[in-house]
Amino acid sequence: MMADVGMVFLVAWRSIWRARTRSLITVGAMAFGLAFSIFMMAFSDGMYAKLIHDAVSQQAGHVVVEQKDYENAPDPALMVPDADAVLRMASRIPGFVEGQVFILGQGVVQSSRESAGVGVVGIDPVAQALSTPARGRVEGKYLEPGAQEVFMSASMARRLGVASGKRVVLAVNDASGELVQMLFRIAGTFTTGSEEIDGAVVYVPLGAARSLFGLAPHAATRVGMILENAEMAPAFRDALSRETGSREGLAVYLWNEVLPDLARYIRFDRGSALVTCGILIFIVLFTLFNTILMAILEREREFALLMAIGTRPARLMAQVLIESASLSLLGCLAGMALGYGASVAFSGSGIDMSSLYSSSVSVSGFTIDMLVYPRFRLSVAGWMSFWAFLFATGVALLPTLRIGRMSLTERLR
Amino acid sequence: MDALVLENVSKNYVAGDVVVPALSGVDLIIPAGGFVAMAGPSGSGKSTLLNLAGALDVPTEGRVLVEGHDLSGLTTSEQAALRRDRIGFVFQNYNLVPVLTALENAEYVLMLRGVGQKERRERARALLAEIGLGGMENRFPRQLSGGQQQRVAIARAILAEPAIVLADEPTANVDSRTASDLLALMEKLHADRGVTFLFSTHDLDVMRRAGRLVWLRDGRIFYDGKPDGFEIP
Ligand SMILES: Nc1ncnc2c1ncn2[C@@H]1O[C@H](COP(=O)(O)OP(=O)(O)OP(=O)(O)O)[C@@H](O)[C@H]1O
Ligand SMILES: [Mg+2]
Repeated sequence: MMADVGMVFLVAWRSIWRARTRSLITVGAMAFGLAFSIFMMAFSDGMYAKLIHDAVSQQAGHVVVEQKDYENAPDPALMVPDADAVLRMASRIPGFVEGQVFILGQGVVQSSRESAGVGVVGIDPVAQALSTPARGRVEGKYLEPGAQEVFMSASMARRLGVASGKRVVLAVNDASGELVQMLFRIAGTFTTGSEEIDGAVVYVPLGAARSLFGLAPHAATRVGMILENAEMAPAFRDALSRETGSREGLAVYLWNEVLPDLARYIRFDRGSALVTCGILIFIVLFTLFNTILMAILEREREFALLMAIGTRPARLMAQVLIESASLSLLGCLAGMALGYGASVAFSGSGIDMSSLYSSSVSVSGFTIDMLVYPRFRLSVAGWMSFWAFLFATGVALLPTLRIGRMSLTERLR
Repeated sequence: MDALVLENVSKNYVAGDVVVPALSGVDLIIPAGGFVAMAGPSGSGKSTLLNLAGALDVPTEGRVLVEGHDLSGLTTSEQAALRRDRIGFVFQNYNLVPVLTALENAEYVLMLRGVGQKERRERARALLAEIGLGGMENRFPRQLSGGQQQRVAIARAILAEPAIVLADEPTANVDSRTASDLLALMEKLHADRGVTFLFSTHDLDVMRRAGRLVWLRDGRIFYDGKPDGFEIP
């Protein structure tokens, strides 16, 4: 028999209102905990988005096309024969912003006195004018398209005993397996603060890289696609895979497959942020448990009376559950709104973290930008709110079990 | 049909190692239409008897029957259903839900029984008016005097037309004028509508106005008969 649910909501509403201070504290604690968590995740996600964007635009793309075996054995022979054709296909897929091509190979850089093994990265100097190395220029100038120039770190130049304007020789195995040597002028030097880049990589313009490695005019070892955001990558990858098929042995990768260290770092860092949020929400839930328990203890006589006149315990449990669910729903909505507000408030100007760190922080060769723009994602906030609501309602269930075990005669004495 | 029958009912409370015999071998019959007062010294077992009669508790020994139905062996939800459908309760204090108005409190049991909102509102409103609470339907309990609150409780108890109304010291918390008025109300409901009442009291005037007085002492019935046949100690 379903006796009026209207009465349940009426009692719920009036009871919540009657204990306004307590209700407000409950909703406030919930809202604050959730808002803080949402903001923290928006902050982290903003930081990662920037990091991913910087990383993929300097070395890869959100989605990358390479020869299938290139990742296992980087060899310029394993190339994408017509990078332009790939980019034409990619540009027709929604989400595409721009494409870029790279030629990555191994070699030795030699001065008259010293030599060092390096990764040789052929890039488009115009597209990469704002990359971390380009912005970290110490002396000289950045690369010119088409020039026979090399851009190396200041520390490597010191090691080789050279400076900008001097000449070095790059020795590599070309696409046909021949050992070739070429003379390059040092355009300038840079520092990124990351040993993984400074000590291991030199940059040359694409044209020079092609002639060094003996590649045809449209060939490249890696074709990268920058998308509107990283979340579009999987769908984009699938669409592009359908276009390319397995033609010419090509394979389409996600950024996290070609930059696994960065992906691992982000997964780990995001995981610890989530744990922090989890602990915070747990504390909030504990407070909630106490308030609900208090509310029930306070109303034991009311419940005993209602049971004495024939109300079933289940109805009273539902009553308390509806009251606490309403409060946590309110808390979740307020928390979402607050978290959204805070994220949006800072998403324009960003939050400058540089005062907290004395030097730059880098992850596998990519410097973390100290100006963080929080990135609110409804899916993340909604997911967190959903679980917070579920847990809060679950937590409310425990004290309601008291109701069924209450001794009526003792409560009514 | 008898509204309430107690057959050789005993109730022992166990508190730790101590067994407190609250009722011992009580036999009592309240016929339908009875108007019975129950009295006796404090601790003599009045509340215990009313709790057993109202299926709020179970006897240690003996049987309790409401309208011929044996209460022993009922599950908790069957007990709840019996209280909802066949028993009216009035307690000494804390009778009303604080967040509900007089009208909502009065209609509560009808609501539990699934009577539609329109009908139960009408019935509750009419009864409140009849017992002198017209115009106070929308007041909350804290906006009512003690006597008015007890009136609302009586209204709730009789509205669902129970077999018996059990009232544990309904007049204990009000002054003697109000107590007398409350009793008059119960007498009127008994006379006009044939409501069966079993109530406990410490008030001599209230006892004397009952049709029948049951005097308890040490958990046993010491006297059961007309109030004027008994020299109240
Ligand atoms: N829950 C309980 N646990 C232990 N003993 C109890 C309990 N309830 C009542 N008693 C004892 O049972 C006896 C009868 O109590 P009861 O409340 O029925 O008396 P009463 O006649 O209603 O008294 P009063 O006039 O003071 O209300 C008393 O000795 C009391 O102490
Ligand atoms: Mg008593």
